[in-house]
Amino acid sequence: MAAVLDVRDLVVSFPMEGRGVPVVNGVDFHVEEGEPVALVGESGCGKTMTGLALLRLVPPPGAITGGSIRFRGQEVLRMSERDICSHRGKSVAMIFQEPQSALNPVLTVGFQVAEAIRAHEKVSRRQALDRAAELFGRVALSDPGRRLADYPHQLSGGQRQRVMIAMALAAGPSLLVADEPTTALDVTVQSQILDLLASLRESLGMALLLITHDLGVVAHFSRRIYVMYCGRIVESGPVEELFRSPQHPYTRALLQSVPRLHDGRGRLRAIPGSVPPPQALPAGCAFAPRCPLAQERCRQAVPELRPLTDGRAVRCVLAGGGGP
Amino acid sequence: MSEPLSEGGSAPLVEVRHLVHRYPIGHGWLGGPRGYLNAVDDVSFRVWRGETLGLVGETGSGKSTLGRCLVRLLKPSSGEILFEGEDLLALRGEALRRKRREFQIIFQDPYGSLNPRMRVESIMTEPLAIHRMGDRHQRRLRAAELLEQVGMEASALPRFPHEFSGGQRQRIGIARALALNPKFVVCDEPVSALDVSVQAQIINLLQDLQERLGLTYLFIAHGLQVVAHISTRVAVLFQGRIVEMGSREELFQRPLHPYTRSLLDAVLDPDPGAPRPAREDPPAEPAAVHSPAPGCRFAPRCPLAEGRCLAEEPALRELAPGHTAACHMADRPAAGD
Repeated sequence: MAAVLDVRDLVVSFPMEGRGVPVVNGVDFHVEEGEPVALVGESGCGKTMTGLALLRLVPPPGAITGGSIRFRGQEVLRMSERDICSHRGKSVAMIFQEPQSALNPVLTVGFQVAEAIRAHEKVSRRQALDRAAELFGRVALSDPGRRLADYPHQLSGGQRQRVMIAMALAAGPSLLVADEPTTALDVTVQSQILDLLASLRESLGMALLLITHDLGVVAHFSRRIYVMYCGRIVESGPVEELFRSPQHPYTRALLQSVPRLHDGRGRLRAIPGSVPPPQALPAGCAFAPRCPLAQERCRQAVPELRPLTDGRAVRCVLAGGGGP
Repeated sequence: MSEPLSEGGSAPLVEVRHLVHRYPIGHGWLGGPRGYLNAVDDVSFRVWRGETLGLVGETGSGKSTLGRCLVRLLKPSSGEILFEGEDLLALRGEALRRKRREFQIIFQDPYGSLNPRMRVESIMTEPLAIHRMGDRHQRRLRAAELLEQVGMEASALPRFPHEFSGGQRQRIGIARALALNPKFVVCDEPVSALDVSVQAQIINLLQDLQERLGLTYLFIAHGLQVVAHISTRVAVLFQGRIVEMGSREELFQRPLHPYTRSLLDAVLDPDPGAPRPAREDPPAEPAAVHSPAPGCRFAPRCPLAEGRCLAEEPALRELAPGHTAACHMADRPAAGD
């Protein structure tokens, strides 16, 4: 299958302490047509900035300072302002964690979705509203025609996220970037929204880039995964293999530290220390200070992302082969 | 009301009886409230010494309100809270203040819950000063000791909260809660705001401290895995009512209430091979209901609801030893079990 999105050596920097500090530091990944892919990591690992970079929406003073982002072969970083506007929404659309703050509180949700439709297509207001109602039906909002006239505060968190999804679908994107789409929602609503995203992906043949910290979400809603730590991808591969035999010590530790429903009350295997801030990354492997296996050579140079078999790759000098 | 699990005849540390907390909603004629929302609606339970009672429920279920009532940060509208047999709601002034040493709270947000202008030392010694415990020097020593207890060094004392990571701030919040040697600690979503890799550290710390100091916890969370891990017993709250309560093994292995079952079905374990309930067309979401209709509050969302469920609110009944549920349908043997 062809790649709908191909990102190479992406660097996003923010000025900190008088210099440009990379928060995304040479990220490579691709998403194939119609494929559900996940970008996983903890807060501050650069996953959100990576997502925003795909739409060239990195907030100033941050900026994309290197690399390439190709959408169906076309370089996003060299698009004109006009082209990027149609790229946003039509090629790649994005939804966010907090649907409350992404919607305008003084406009009806119908108006806001219709506005998104009219931004990409020459249709009348009436037609746009009809299309909005159709989209509301698609995202399984009850009584779509009536919902059009609702204001965001009249809807529940899950309904608001459905409105955001409807808006994101307005121009029929080929890739939907969902940044922590369910983190702010209750568990039962979370699974409904994720099921909705999965069924829309299938029925519309749209690719899905799921950005999340939640390994449970990743396990059930993506086919391939990229694990990020401190601005770099540290491991990637198909979900089943990666969960069955994680190769990077960080991935392994992360999977072991999550409490599971039917475990006992024993001690959890916590990862010592905390994530270092981007302006104070250690030399060498960023995970070395927290890694139980770290050796001298880990602290000297940043390891390369090495390809393994079965489409997997790992950024660790100690990993590979059968794995411990 | 029948009470689950009596612990060898010993008295409970905390007993809550028919607790109600209502918030006024809207503005009517002359600015008076248009109505009331019962955030906690006739809740009764006991907390035994040394246990961790988990409290789960979705946003708006009243779990935080309940937690805050228990440490008297909110004054309940009615009901009783007995702490070692003494009614907390009858206490006022100096007597209440003295009692406050015994119950403390840890908050969710390690950013918002520490005063950014106070040094760690003042944050830790403030409760001691308020309760006139020790002199300056002794308080300082106690602050250092508390930090050590939560796995931090005394070098943190002169620093400000912003100099610490979320996990470290949560440790400071825990140390502050322990300053007065409480017996009972309400943990209100203490790990929800933390990164996965740090969550486990804090959960382990809370468990260690409980063992070392003989603490009793009310652990509030919306994440079921965390509650399942740390709790000895669990109560499930739905729209201000406890709908199910039992030991953690009972509740997670043999859930009786359809709401509890729907919560468990929604859990995503980090295992790609784990079975998930068949994907249905997502049901249209009902809007938030402020004034529940008569009958069971869960009925509008319940797959098992019958006529009786819409007419008559079910009471909590003991259906297995120490396991109660408020559901008309619950005693029917569940298919496939």
